Amino acid sequence: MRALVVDPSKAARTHLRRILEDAGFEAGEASEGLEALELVRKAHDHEPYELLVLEWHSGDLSGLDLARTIRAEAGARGPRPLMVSHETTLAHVRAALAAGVDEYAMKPFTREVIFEKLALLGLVVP
Amino acid sequence: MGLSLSERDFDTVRRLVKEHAAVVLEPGKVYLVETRLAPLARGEGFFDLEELVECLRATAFGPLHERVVDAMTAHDTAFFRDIHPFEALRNSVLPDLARRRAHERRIRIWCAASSSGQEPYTVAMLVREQLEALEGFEIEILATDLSEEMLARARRGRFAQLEVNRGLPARFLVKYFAKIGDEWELREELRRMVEFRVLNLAKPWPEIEPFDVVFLRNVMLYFDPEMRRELLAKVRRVLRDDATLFLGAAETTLHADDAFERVALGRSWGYRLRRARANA
Ligand SMILES: C[S@@+](CC[C@H](N)C(=O)[O-])C[C@H]1O[C@@H](n2cnc3c(N)ncnc32)[C@H](O)[C@@H]1O
Repeated sequence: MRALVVDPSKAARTHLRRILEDAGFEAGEASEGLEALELVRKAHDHEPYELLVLEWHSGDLSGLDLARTIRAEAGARGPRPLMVSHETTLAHVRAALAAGVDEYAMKPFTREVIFEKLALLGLVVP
Repeated sequence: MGLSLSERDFDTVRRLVKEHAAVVLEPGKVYLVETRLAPLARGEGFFDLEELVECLRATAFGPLHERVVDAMTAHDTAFFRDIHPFEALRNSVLPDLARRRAHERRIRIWCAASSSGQEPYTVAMLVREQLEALEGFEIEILATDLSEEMLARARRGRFAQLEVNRGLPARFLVKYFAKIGDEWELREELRRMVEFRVLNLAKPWPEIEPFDVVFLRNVMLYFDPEMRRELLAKVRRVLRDDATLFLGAAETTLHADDAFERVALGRSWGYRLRRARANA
């Protein structure tokens, strides 16, 4: 299984990538939304990502817009977007779900939080 | 002032926890007593842990003893813990009961060690999601625990960010919670669905009407084999013939009580009374 972590913070990316690797993913990183979109498009035909971990704030293309774009382009066959963000209001969570994000975790997070979100997405067995 | 607890002091705490809650502290758990009780000792105004333990020995069982038991028992929990039992509740157990109890129109569910409330509230949300199938049903959710403090927290229905981050689908967060300051509050109509009460599983129980579903999760594993047997025998007496029992992922009735049989419910295991099958 392949995952892509999109987060401007190097520390957050590393932390998330390690957790995903422990969950059995091969995880790549991108620091910006546009870079991520390109990677997802390129990977689509041969080695598609199953999971996309997004931060709301990710440069010119926000996590929200990235989720929306990928949903529009790939639909259900595309990667499952999981938002892991500093934004913690109800309005943000609601907007993310409306944009096609499948799950939402608020920072700071722990390993358990990420594993339990992956379990909700059916990507790991609890 | 010693840094490490004496054997006698450890024994006092171990016995207290065993006698009151049936929870077994392994002999190697001295450090656990120290890390959990040192803050309590300070908070209660004792000079050190030794003094606190001395007071436990010198006085009859009271609030201090209760707080010590509370500090020594694990309260970890999460919404939708392990997911599969709750999927089974939603996909097969509740729809099944909706049919079987079509005439009674009443379903009783018990969370027997409910800690800070995530488990009974998960059940409440799932019941709420099936309002149509359960139209006109009276659904009673009883949640009990030994710990008054946990029950008080649970009744309040407010959770820290980290707690709603764990296991709770985002869809349910936006549907059933409001953010108040840094906390997340479960909507009142859901809080009202659960009745919280003190019940010590290790002591005689009050008269309880039988249940259709029982969650007895992540508590039996702290008991010794004899206590587990006793507990399961008591649970049997408060189950309807066709009731479903859910245990924690690391727990089983096998070896402890062969009146139960394990049944596969989706990706989860449930336990049913054997005679139920003969009647089915
Ligand atoms: C680890 S929590 C499990 C919570 C929940 N059932 C779950 O699975 O997430 C265990 C709970 O059992 C309670 N407990 C321990 N001994 C008990 C006893 N003798 N009677 C009732 N509750 C007890 C503790 O207070 C604690 O809240």
